[in-house]
Amino acid sequence: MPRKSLFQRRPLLVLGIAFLVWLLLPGIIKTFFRSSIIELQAPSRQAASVVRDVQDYWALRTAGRNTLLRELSDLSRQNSYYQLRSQRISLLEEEIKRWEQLYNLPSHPEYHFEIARVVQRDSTTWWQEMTIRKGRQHGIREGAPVVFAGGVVGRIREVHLATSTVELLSSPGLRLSARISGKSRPLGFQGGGNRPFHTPTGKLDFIPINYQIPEETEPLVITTGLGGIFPEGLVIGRLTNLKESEETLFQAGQVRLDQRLNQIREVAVMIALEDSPQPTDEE
Amino acid sequence: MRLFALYRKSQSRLKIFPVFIAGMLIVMIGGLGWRQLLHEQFYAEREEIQHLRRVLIPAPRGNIFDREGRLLVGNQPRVSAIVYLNELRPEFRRQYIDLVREYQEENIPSQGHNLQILARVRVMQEYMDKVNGILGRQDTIDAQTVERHFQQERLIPFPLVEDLHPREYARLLEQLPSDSPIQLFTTSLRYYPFGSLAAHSLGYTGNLNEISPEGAPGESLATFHIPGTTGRSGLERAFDDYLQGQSGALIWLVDPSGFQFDLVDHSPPVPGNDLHLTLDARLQKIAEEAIGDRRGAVIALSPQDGEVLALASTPGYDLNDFVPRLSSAAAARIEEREAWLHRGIQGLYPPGSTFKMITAMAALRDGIIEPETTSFCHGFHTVGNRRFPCHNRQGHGEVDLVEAIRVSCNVFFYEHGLATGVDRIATESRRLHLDQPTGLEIPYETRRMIIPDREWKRQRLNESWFPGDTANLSIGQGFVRLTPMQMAAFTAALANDQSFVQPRVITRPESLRATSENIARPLELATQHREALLQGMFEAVETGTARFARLDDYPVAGKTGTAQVRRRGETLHMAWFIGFAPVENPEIAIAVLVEGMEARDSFAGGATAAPIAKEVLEAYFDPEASDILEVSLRP
Repeated sequence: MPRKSLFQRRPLLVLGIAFLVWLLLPGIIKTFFRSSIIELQAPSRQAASVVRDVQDYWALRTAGRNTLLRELSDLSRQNSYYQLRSQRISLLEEEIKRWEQLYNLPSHPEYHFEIARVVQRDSTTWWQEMTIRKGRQHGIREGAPVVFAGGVVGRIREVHLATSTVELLSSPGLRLSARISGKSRPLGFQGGGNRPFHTPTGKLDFIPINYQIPEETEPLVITTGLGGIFPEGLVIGRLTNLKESEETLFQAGQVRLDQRLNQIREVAVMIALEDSPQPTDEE
Repeated sequence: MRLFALYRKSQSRLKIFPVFIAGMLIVMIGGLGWRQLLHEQFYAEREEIQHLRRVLIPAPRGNIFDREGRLLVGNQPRVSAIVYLNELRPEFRRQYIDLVREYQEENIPSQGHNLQILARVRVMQEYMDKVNGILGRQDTIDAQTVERHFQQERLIPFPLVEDLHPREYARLLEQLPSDSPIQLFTTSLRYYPFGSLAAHSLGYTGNLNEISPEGAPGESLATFHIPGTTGRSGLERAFDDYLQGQSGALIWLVDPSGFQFDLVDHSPPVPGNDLHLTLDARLQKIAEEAIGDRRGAVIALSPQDGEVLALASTPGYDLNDFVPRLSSAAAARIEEREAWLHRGIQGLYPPGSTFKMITAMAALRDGIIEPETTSFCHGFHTVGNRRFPCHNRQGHGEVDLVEAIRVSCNVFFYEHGLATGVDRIATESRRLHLDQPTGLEIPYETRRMIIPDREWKRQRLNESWFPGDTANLSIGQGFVRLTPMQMAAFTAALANDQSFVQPRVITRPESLRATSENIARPLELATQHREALLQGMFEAVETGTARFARLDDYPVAGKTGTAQVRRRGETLHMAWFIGFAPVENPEIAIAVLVEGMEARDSFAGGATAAPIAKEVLEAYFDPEASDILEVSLRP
């Protein structure tokens, strides 16, 4: 009869010992292990992401000539529109700069947008995060704001060599300074979780007690730019309802976040130009 | 065998022991039962007191609104960056161990207690440095403050930075991790959207270290207080209980060191009740702007019900300077400008020629004069061997009552005031309630007003009453002292044909309103007499001394006065105007006083006070023309 190993004879005991050893390990070793695993997994995740992109590419290749022509026509129209908008924005930026110089105002920080594909998304109740295909070698920094066409996505929580983890806007660990569009008072936004089959939500605190949601529309909640991380005016979501908070001085509001947060394929990381490190490599 | 025999021999005595032990056991069991069963409640309460602590949270005070529902006094959040000492205990311990090791390595003698304090301060400073890093500040932790907090207020959050600017709390909110021991803590502070508007009447609040525990659960528990505020002056003080609300309470189960272990109960604070005033913020602002930098008071009220529409007292002060506390520099500035005094209800002044209306009423009531009675004014009147001048040295010639009021002829009132006598004039003044405070809801209305008579002079100065005193009293000079609010109430009463109109500033709740059912009576002046008085006042505004208060579209009745006061060796002029409009159906009564500060301030009722009244009356009758409210919100 072959001799059984300790693991075969006492599997639970071994598991218990391993767990105990893990608990007793110094934090630095645990961090090293964790980073190593992430870095080891990164190529396979990136590869999976690239495969998905290739799939998408070939799916698009099957589209008919007429469909492509129609898309092209739509795109050129949109392109012309955005070119005009871009010119207008450039002029406005010049005007703002001129006024800032005239009044000796501190200029707004400028950002470099690093576009990154989403590798993995975990927006379940426990882990409100996503992994993107850009990392340290692309100049990504911890804490940098992440945005998409619909507004704020979240904030960079961890940066690895070629990937980064983004803490999503719906994460209860993410707080930012927000305001209701049209109002100047800074309020506090905190992610409110993302229940399955529900739109992701957040919580808005410190809303003045006399504020009421207009009947005609749910007001936009946007960043204030006062917090030092997120620039001003990025869309967070829409304020859907109010309730009195326990402090009795304020109301708390529920913010409905953009539903597209659960399907984002591409995001932009905002890197402030003055402290932006030079990317070490191009993807 | 011998031992056994010995035992058998002494057995009878040994029998006592089991009985004794059984008795002791019964006593013990009985005692235990007595404590556990009968006194169970007592010991349970003792245990609760020993292990439970209560933290009282102040309630936000009620708001104060004007008659149009504009917010005059509200609350604004005061955000502080705080840490709970309880959450830092593991770090205190680690820091303490490091310190002990450090001192031992370097052979530095030290006491354990001092090292504990040092450890706490170092940990707190680390957190303070985090806040400093985010906010660009350089604050430091004071060891004594930390230690005092640790010893006496360990259940209360320790403030690292108080009163954060919105920009600062936005930075902390965004840059601190949500699970950081540094948290943002909000309390409420008073907030005055209009700054100095009606400052004296609204009043200010001060800090209160021990807030009222009334209504909060856990009254028998050791209690910690999060500081609140209490009304110190004005309506904030008068209705402090009503505005205060009910404190909330957190009941904590504490560990043997007295730190939070578990939250047992939480009763949220109940906000204070709102107060609605009769004041019209717009009219109030116009009144304050009309009087400008000059010292004085402007009071406008509704003659029908005594509702005070404006109650301006200048100089004032910015109520926001009192939040969170008044700096000594700001206090010195208020002191220097003599701005603490609510001149509307605390300032005492001789009413000057406005008092001629009371003299005339006394003379008419007692049949001393009729409207047709005339006097001849040569520019002065001689009483004994002393000449009492008229303000027109050339004289007004022959004047009747209406003309005497129109031109404010002193001689007419000297002559008929002397004929009426001090007793009748004093009686008339008392009938008009001028010898008592008006009973307005604002606290500290002065009670030192003077309606002089023979008895008063004998008691106060130990002197007899002379005819010259009556002459002075007849024109509102001499000893008589009244407040602008009294003159406003008198004007409203005259307009409303009443002996008294109760001024009031509260509209809601009605239970807090000033009442005057026992005081107000009809004026009981013959119709032709009252009409003559009103005619005189109307003509004074149309063509007489009060013409600068004339309105194009509304008939105004008014009377000016210029009183002289000797102060610090100088003669100062006090300019008065009282009036109401429209004459036939009065909607607003007004009293204006401008106080001369130096001898060179040549103030006069007609030139100084009447134009102020005109501005207020114009704004009242044409509200669209002067919507000048600007709300100064805290950035």
